[in-house]
Amino acid sequence: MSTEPLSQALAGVDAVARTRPDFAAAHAHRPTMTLRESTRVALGFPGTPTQRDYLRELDRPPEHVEWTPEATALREAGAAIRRETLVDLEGALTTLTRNAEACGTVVHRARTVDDARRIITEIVRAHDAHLVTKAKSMITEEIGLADHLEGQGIEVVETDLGEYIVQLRDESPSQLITPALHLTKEQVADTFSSFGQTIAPEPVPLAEFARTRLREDFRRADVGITGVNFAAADTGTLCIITSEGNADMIATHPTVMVAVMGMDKVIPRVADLGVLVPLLCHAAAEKHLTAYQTLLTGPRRADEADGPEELHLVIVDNGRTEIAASPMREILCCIRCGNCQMVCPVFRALGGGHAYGAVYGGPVGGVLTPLLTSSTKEQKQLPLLSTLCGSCADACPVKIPLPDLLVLGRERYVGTQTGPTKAVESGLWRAWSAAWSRPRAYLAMVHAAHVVGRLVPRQWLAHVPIARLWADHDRRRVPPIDRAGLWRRYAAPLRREDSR
Amino acid sequence: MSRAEEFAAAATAVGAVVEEVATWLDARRRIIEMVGAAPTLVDADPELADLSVTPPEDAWSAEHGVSVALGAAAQTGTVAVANGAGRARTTGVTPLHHTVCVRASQIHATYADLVSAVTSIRPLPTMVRLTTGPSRSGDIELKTIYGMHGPRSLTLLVVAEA
Repeated sequence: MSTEPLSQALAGVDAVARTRPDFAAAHAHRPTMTLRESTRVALGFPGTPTQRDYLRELDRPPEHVEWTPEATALREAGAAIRRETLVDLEGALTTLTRNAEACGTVVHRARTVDDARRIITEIVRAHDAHLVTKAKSMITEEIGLADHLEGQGIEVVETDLGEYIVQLRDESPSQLITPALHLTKEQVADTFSSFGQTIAPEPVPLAEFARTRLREDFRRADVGITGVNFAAADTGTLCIITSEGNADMIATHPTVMVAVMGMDKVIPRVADLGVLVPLLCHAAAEKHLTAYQTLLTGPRRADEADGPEELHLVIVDNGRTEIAASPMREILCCIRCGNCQMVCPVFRALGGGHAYGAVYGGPVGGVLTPLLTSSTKEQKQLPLLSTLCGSCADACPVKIPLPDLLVLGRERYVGTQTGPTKAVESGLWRAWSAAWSRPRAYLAMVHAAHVVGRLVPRQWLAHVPIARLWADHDRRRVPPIDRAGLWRRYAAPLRREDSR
Repeated sequence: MSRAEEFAAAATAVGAVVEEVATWLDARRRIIEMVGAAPTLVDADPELADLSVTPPEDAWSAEHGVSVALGAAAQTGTVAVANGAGRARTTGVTPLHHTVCVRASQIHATYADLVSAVTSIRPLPTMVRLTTGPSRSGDIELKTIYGMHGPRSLTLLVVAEA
């Protein structure tokens, strides 16, 4: 690898201070941590309380997502469309492949993460490209593409503003659609000012700085890589959604474009975008549609002045075929809006997605991540990181029963555990379940708990596993229930359910 | 509210500038007024054929881009522009300012109607770009800034003449 970087946007990146905590590190550079460790560190991190309050604010009017009658109609239609392809995912992909190839797109199927990396590396190598511009995409994060290409001596520049910021800081994105949601404008200004010139901590000059630096890379890169929001089987059309226009720059300037999608991104008809695009924007708490929905049907034609000469579509499996055949299949309906994350009390308490130690955090990540072939041992525990409060099910624009799937995920996780701890644990749960199913036994246990709580000093309890947590908490100071608040919050949707 | 008015309101809400002109001649005059001598890319279209502007040296030096929409959606303030021979993809994305002419008769009621209309063309253009307002980003503290990678300003000329 040459010492002089080709990228203008990354030149001088070594001067950026690495102030990030380990649990927020870019996935490729994150030390192995158990879920218990990373959540404990995240909860104790000084920035977490501010971030928690900020995330909670975003879930209130006017930012929060409401299911108005119009939005509900979109939601019903969108939920139905997303389930159509689940019946025969492979069939839908065959149709997509046929129609995409008919218009000149080169379609590749990657069974594993390694296959996907290899296919894309070969495309980049075949054109002797050393600089790649990239738009934001979860699937390329999932396959660890940028890091892999860098390992092969290929510079990869993230062009989405939020992704560019986290790339410079060597952090992982903290939320599905807003990767730098965890950073303040002052932190971004610090990062950008590392290049030598002091940038004012305001969004306008910061964005202008990034625009200027990234522009030269858009011009120089021979290969551009994007994700795909929806791929229409009937026409082979790829729909890429952005507000910044970076995917449009990639679909315009480089000679070669590679679009990467998970198998689940296929939709039956291109006209379905009329439902799915507004639904996605609504669920992502956008007041309006995003600036651009770019519909690509094949590479540039002979009479066209620009656009890629080659358009590659890489369809990644990484466990999705198995998911489609399992009771967890509805997780493949996900359209990556991030709404389940924004409403999740656990996600908020942890100050965002970093503590999950996975590309997909929050409720969707709790279900999806352990099912991916590439998931690690630590990630298998992710279904446990939920209170099962049900907010995510209410928030999901395509009506994925996330709490049910989280419970199924826990069942799977527990099923893989072995040894004496497992035997004792399941014995205790069975006893508890039996007791709480009988009114007398239940009351007896509550009374016993009162007596123990009163008579046994807290210092003693602190030495007993499980009871320790109880002892830490002042059980007599249970906060009063805000009845009016509860009524306002839950009565309206209940009444709507009744009238249906 | 007429469909053109609804379109204007929706597009304005998302940061576009909407102007109504009676004829294509008026549209051409207005475009010349706006771009002056600045290097400008103009998409091939019979209505814009005799527009005399300064051509840019290359796509990167263009300050303005001018396109004609396939159609629009009143509900969301969206315009659809397709590429093709003489209509480069770069026109609507690389210059700092983009102007799109929209025939009032081609404003559909909803976004879904617009999508159905533009995706029923065969063969489909290799690129159809649905644009709602100028390029923007909310990645820093969720504050919207305009002109992230694409145009900072989007002017929509609604032409009454068919």
